[in-house]
Amino acid sequence: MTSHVDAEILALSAEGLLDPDEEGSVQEHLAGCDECGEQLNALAAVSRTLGEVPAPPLPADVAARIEDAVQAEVQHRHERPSGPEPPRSDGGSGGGAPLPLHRPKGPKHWMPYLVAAAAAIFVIGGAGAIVQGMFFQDEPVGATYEEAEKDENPDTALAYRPVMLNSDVEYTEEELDTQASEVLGSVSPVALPDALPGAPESDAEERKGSSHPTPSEAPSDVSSCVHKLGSTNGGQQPALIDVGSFQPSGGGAAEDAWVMYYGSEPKDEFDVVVVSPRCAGTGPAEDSVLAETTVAGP
Amino acid sequence: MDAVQELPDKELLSRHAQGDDQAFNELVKRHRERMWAVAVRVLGDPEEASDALQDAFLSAFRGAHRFRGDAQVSTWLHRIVINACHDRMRRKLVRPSVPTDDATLDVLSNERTKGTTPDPTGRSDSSLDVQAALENLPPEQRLALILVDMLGYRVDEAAEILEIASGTVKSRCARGRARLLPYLAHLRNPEDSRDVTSPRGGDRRS
Repeated sequence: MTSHVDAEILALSAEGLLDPDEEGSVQEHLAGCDECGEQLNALAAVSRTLGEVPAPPLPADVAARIEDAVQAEVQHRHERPSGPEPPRSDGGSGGGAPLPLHRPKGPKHWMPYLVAAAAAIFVIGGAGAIVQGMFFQDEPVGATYEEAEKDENPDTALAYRPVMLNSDVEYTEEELDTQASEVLGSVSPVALPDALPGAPESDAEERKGSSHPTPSEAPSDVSSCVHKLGSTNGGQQPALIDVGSFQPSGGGAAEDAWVMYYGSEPKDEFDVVVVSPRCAGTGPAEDSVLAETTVAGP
Repeated sequence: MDAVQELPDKELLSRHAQGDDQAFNELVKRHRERMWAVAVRVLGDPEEASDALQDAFLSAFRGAHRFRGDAQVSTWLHRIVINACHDRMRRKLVRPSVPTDDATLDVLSNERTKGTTPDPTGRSDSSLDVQAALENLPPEQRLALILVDMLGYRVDEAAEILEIASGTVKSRCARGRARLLPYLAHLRNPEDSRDVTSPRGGDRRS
């Protein structure tokens, strides 16, 4: 006797996801098979069963706890040295005053071209968008932030400020090496002129739209994360920090992630460390490391 | 004039980013019930869910400047809550998301059938059963089903939250439902529950 239709096929059919041929043969089988018809009903019942489970209400103590935590955070924001100061003209007031990144003793961890790239960082934002487009063509390319070093901030123009990138690259565990190389490639000045076909500056400006401030420097939580990581890696500073997202292998939604690129001078290599924004929290910095790898420089 | 209660979400978030102390609290009040429902479903444990919820709101508080105006604030919050849940799961390594083996199934089934008459309302029992059954799904299928079937989001809403295509949401839901079938069949036909551990679960091809 011919085999019954697999439950998964039935479920896909119910969602209209089968191609016409397959759908046709499923329907043909269903017409003469009560058992599979029953199976189809059972699948619909699964949906109903799931929908009938009542959502438990938010317990009052949890609500109160969160309110307290938010209140404490508001307080904390006030206590930061320059937290409540009016935001700079370029915005970026989101997380209060950034903890300045510490300047290492000498510029030995820095690839000179990355320093150069900092000056051209606006352009890099565009390149980042292109990188994303290459990997996720079916997804809308979101607005990219350009983390420009602003001329009017000479005080923050440390030689060691890492290049901040908002590439929006959705890093994945499987592709991390490739993606990291791509991103590094996109900031190399060698690649810059070619990486920007019709540099979509005005587009980016428009897309950014809305009244939301664009961060212009490492958000304070990034800075404190770098600081914490520094205490575990001998004070190394990343050359480049990319604010993107990361998808661990084995599925699951991508989450925000900061991808730190640590250059090492003797070898043309970068250590790439993917950390969760939780890094800025109270736990040990190591716990927030989602993935690590080493890639060759561009 | 404009009491915070009357401002749209985006305006609140923007005010918060500019230093307004009340704005974020209003956002929390607006969204916490929904976010709680998501977290408690995803994690299956109120204790963990409340931690994740707090993590998420604090992370949203600090990350408000990363919000992009082209999404809904609520969509953005959903993503943060889901990420916070994943973070919790990863850190606790609650359990690997491998398919449940027969032994586990036996336990589930035995607990269910031993000396109980099915609760006519099915309420409390079925909640637990559903939660246990969901544990057998790969995370991405579970997430899609939680949003669409359990919490009633439209497919396109779920797609935006998860940042995947609508078709992907549908196929994850479909595969998830098929996979749940053997675990939930008894809720529909209580008299059949004894069969759950028998090859019934595998009779899809028989």
